[in-house]
Amino acid sequence: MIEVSLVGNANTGKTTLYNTLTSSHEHVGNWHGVTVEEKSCVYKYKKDEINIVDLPGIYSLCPLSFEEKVATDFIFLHRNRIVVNICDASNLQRNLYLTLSLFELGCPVILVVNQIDKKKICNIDYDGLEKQLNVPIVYVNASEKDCKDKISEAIVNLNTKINEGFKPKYNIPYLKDILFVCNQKLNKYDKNIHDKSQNNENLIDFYKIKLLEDDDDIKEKLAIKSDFDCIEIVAQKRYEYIEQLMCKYSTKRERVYGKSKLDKILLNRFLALPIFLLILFGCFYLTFFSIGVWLSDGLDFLLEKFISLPLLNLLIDKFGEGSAIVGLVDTALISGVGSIITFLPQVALLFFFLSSLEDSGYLSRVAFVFEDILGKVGLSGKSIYTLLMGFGCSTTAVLTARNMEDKNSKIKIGLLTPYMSCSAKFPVYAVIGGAFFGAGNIFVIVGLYLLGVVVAVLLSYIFEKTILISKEQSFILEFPPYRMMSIKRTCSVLWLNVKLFIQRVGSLILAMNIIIWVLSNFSITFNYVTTDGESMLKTFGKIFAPIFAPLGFGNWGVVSALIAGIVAKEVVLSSIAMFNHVDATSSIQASILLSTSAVYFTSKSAVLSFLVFCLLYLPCISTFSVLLKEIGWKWTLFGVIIEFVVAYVLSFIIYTIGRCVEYFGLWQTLTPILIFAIFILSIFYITNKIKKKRTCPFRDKCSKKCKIKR
Amino acid sequence: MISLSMARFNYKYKIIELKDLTFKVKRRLYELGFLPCHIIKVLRTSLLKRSYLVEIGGYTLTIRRDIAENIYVSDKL
Repeated sequence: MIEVSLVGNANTGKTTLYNTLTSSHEHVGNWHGVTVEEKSCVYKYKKDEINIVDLPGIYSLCPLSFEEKVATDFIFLHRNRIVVNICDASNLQRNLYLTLSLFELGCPVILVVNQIDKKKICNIDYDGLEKQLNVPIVYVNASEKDCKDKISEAIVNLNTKINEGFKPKYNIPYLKDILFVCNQKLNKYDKNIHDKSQNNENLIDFYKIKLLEDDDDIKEKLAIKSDFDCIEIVAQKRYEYIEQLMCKYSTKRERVYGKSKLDKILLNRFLALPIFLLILFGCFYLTFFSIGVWLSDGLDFLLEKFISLPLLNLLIDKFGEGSAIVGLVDTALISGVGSIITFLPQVALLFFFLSSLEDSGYLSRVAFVFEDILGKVGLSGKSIYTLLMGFGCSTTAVLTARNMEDKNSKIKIGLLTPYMSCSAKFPVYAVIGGAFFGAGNIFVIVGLYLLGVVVAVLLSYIFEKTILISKEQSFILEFPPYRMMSIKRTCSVLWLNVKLFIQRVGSLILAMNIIIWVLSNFSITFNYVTTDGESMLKTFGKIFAPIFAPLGFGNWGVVSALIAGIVAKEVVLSSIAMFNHVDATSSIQASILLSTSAVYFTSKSAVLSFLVFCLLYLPCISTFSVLLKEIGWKWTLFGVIIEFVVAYVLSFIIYTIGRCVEYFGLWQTLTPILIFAIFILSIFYITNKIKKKRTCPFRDKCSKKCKIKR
Repeated sequence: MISLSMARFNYKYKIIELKDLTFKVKRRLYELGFLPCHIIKVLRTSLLKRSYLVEIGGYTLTIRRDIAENIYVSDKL
């Protein structure tokens, strides 16, 4: 088998190429850091099997963030693998910097120049460049199928040469100059370097250059503590050579990569934030309140007419109306799964809009805009990717926390992501809120989405000031050019999300529904119980119900649904449908209004409290497992406890305020709250003023004896 | 010699040196082409001037104000 690594700068089309080569459907996007972990796949080309590994984007072999470290560690450990170095033709000059680092390491390299943009920035003489660098160059468009043959052919040819004893010898004229500096500076470490590199010539040179670049990993490996501070010399030499190459083999650049006239409006200092909020609101409106709702209603009608009712009638004819099998299909499948599957169009639309934002290149601009706000609460502008992805799925969003540069920032953003309203929570808001608030539910849903963001921001501020103080992030972020999403990609995104949703509903949620149906229809002694009987779940739910009584929903049904929802948030809704024995002809919304149901709410304030609790209480099991892997069990446990406490306290406050409004009226309740809030804010303001006054204005030149805070 | 944070928008400046930055950040900046004599242009800042959008080596990227403050450039070209 031929072993190949796919290496390149961020956002050059590595994953697109990987998908084309292996016919996979890995997540791609037009922003920095979509891929955060290595992915591998084997594909066949003629007689050969090729194992290709897609790595996160890097700028050099010295990592700055966690995902870059994944890539550099892999390259270094597997330096004998063939490296397919993908460069963006529109930004070749910057991309070649990494290529030269790979040459210095002595990897067998194939240079793939990807022409993503149809508008060329400059013309490149590939043949001349190939001869000059002494490396095979393939130029392709990574999304087109013909690139598979071109690249695979180059891989097979290089592999054949390597098997015949070929060792790559690249043309790196500046290497002598750098090694001269190395020999001057690193004389006393020579023995150490030779021992660790087992006298491998390429590795000796590479270690020396890395030492000049003050690479922490190599220093640790060689047990060297001194700083050499020669990064500038190394970078200067590489860029001088690149400039020579570009002068000789490329025409003058016609435009700047990532610069667009559109930015004058989208990044306008005063308009940028309102424009982003408008775009986001537009996406949510189309998904949850217009097109999405129409499509959902249509799907509901079709499912009921052509699947649910005919299936139920068939089973009733065969087994009789009161049989357990009819009960199972009616509650667990038709009302349980059916209540979730109708949200398929809305979930698919939401992911489509998020993917469109990713592909457009606008997300990097959003990060730039949000650096102001997020920077104030100890997050980087880049965190906006993770938070926005959290609106789709928290599990995948948590993974993007690897973009962060320091551990505390990574932990912090990992802990905050579950506070976002993911697509699984929306069905709960829509159905439960819809039953009590009708058309006004739009404000409740918008409020819940905002509340998640506000809680995350406030918690970030508290974490930053107390236990998770982050280092200053550099926020060095490249702007990609704007791109339109192709029809092919649109179809692919929609199809993938529909497939994933159906798979999730058909496997995890259906299995969970069956388990819940068994637990809610059989007693502890395993007897089939009637509606009023004491089922296992009822017995269990009654133990925990008193804990939630202060929040307004202390009945066993609600508590059991919340516990079941830890597996997947959609299960909260399907459980309610099952507990209330909703069948093909009745609705969940009608059932929760009846006080005779297992799950019911006595007032609107109880519903609000329940929805807030649903938003904040605990991450689903898959997010929990990713958090465990990414931030460790201690922080995950801490996060889970904090989430539960925050959810409980906020739900309690909302329920109490809601009850007061119901009893005393709106203004009679809000007036004392406003007075209290103003009082607290004034205290904060005055304390800050006093602190500022006590700070010495001449602190730089002031004597040490000065008693005023410096 | 002025700091990049003092530079005027859309004017070309020549980088002179990077000062008082951590090794990691300095290295990343060098890797991205923030080398002496290279031409740089500030395109815009965010509302609170916490981040800067710059053009260097034929592409655009963002940097934070504290980094921009430590990049010294010549008077505008």
